[in-house]
Amino acid sequence: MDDIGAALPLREPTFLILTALAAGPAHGYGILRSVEEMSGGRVRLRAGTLYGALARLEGERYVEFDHEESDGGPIRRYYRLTGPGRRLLAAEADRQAANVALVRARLRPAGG
Amino acid sequence: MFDCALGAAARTIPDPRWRAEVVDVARRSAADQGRLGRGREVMATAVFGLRLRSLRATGGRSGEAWRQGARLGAGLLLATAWVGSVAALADARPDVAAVVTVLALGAGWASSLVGRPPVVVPTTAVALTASWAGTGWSPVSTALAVALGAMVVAGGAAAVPGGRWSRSLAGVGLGVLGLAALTGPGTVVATTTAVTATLVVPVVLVTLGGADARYAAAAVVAWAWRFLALDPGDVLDAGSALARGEGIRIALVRLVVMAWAVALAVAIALRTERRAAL
Repeated sequence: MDDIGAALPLREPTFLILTALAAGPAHGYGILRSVEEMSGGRVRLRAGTLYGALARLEGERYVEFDHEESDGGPIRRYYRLTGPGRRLLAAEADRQAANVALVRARLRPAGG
Repeated sequence: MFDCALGAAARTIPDPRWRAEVVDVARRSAADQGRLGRGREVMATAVFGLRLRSLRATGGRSGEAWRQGARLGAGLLLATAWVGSVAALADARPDVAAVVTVLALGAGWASSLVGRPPVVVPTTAVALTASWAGTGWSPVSTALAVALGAMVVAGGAAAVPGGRWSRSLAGVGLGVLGLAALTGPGTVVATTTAVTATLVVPVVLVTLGGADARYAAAAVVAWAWRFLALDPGDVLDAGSALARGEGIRIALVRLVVMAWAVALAVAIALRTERRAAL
């Protein structure tokens, strides 16, 4: 958990799940929909894939249980980012931003 | 149909808390999907269940999946050796070595099935010594050698996965196979068992190994035996024939195929272990 650098780079689904939770607690189906929307429909996670990632992230203490709700149907469990989870996501965003800046700097002279 | 398949896949998830939640989300997610999408939901649910089981069993410790898989693979080889040695006892004039091999393997299996697995390692060593003395380089002796090696490397005896029911079922299965080998066409039963345990079952194990590295590791052990059980004399002859331009013999093809199979199983086990990371 302390060694955030070792967890980088994140795979895209993991990155998008953490990003979906960055805005606030969300339940499983909500995370699926957020990931789909954020990726413009490019990344569509299966429930098993999502919960596999959540189980790993929970085990690494990057994500934790927030609360549960029920509107008469099945119980919905909400998850939230932890402090280390936010730092992990920020570190990944910095890494991606550095890569983007590098590419733009190299492309600029060629592109005019 | 989808609900039924999803329910069956969800049974692989060991934690009821996760199980109910995954089924609910999978159902809602699959509502606007076609048959293929629904099939993928079922597959992803089963894979998640297997991964969670693996994580629970290994504690996420590096190397533990290999140790547990090696013990499972050793169990497959001991089952094969058990049936093969009983068949040999029935088919030929029994000598002391053959009787000792069967008794030692039987004692090992009995101790494992009643929950005393540490006895399996010494009984396998006794069976290996007896088998080697009686037949030299044979399918039974090489299976025992690989099984013993796997157990020593894994630091534990061959294991029957699951609880008391699984052990009881394995006991009944081994008893029936032993009886069939003893009273029926022994060679046919032994060959069928060997093909099933070390070719058909490992294919299933490698498939499951995509989600749980322990199964791929078990296939590595089973296929390593198929690789090592090839008669070195036949392989050398085949190599010489190839060098003389007499074409490729079946022994060489088997050697290459089994080497490739072992490498494939190792690669899948390593990949599955890596995928457990973020």
